[in-house]
Amino acid sequence: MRRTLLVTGASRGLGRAIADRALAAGYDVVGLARSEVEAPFPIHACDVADAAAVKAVAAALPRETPLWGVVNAAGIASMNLALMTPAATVQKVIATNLMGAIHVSQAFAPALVRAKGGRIIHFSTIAVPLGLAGEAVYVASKAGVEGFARTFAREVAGFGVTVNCIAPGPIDTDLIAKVPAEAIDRIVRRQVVQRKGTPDDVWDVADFLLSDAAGMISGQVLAIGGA
Amino acid sequence: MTAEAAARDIEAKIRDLVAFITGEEAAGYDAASPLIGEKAVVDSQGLLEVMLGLEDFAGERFGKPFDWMNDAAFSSSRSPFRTIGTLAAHMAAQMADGA
Repeated sequence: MRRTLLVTGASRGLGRAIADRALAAGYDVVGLARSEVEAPFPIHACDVADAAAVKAVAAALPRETPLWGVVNAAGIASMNLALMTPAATVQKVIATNLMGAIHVSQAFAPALVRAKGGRIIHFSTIAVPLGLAGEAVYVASKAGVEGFARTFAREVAGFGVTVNCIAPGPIDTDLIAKVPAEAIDRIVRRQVVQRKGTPDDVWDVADFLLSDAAGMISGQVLAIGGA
Repeated sequence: MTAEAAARDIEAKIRDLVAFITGEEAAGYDAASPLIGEKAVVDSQGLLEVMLGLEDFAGERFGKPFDWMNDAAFSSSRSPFRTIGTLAAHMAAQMADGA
């Protein structure tokens, strides 16, 4: 039976890249995105910051759907000094990145628990271990995601469900489109592997974490590029 | 169906679920059997399984969703999930709401 993956942030960026590659790898993909777009897989319009909306999508998913994995790639960034970030932006970043990760886990993990197996992958960032100046609010939201994932992993481990984070360094997506090239280069020079990552690098890690072979890997953060 | 009758049905279902999880006889559990705390008859994983089982039961028996998110879930004094009996009463009240 083909396994189903739920991918958030599936309309563009890393989410879309993961969704496309998952489809090519033989998964059935269900996408979530703030707005519906053309895609070779169904996309439900849903803001992960809205707990009720996420719950409604989960409730509408047919019970017989063989949901195997959740890849939570929805995220927004705010490249700004903390002292210059408006409160509304702080709230939006935390609501989407951190609360979104919690909402998605709460809504879809029960299906994996029922099935006694599955995979949850959240996205963090290499900016967390590097403590990148100018990304304090974004880093705070993603550090929260890492803490949630490490702990939630223990709560569902007995059901054969793993929870991990992928923490990429800079990758050419909309998320960093407005960050100056010199700033990106400075980050890359702090990585263990000193080159920009690609969506394929991210998928390779996700592909492994989603596999049966990764059943003993849970509560971990894998930094792509190394930090 | 009265709220009392619903609570009795739910309590029986909870005892069955707990018995399935522990491998013991359902008759060995009653309304006073604790579900949280040091003397709980199930661990936290078992408690999740009970809730998922009740979620299914709510849909099948009452045609309603059962919302088991609760801020006081692990409060020894206020948790609606303290015992099989309190959980049954909590769920029965939810099933009766707007019935």
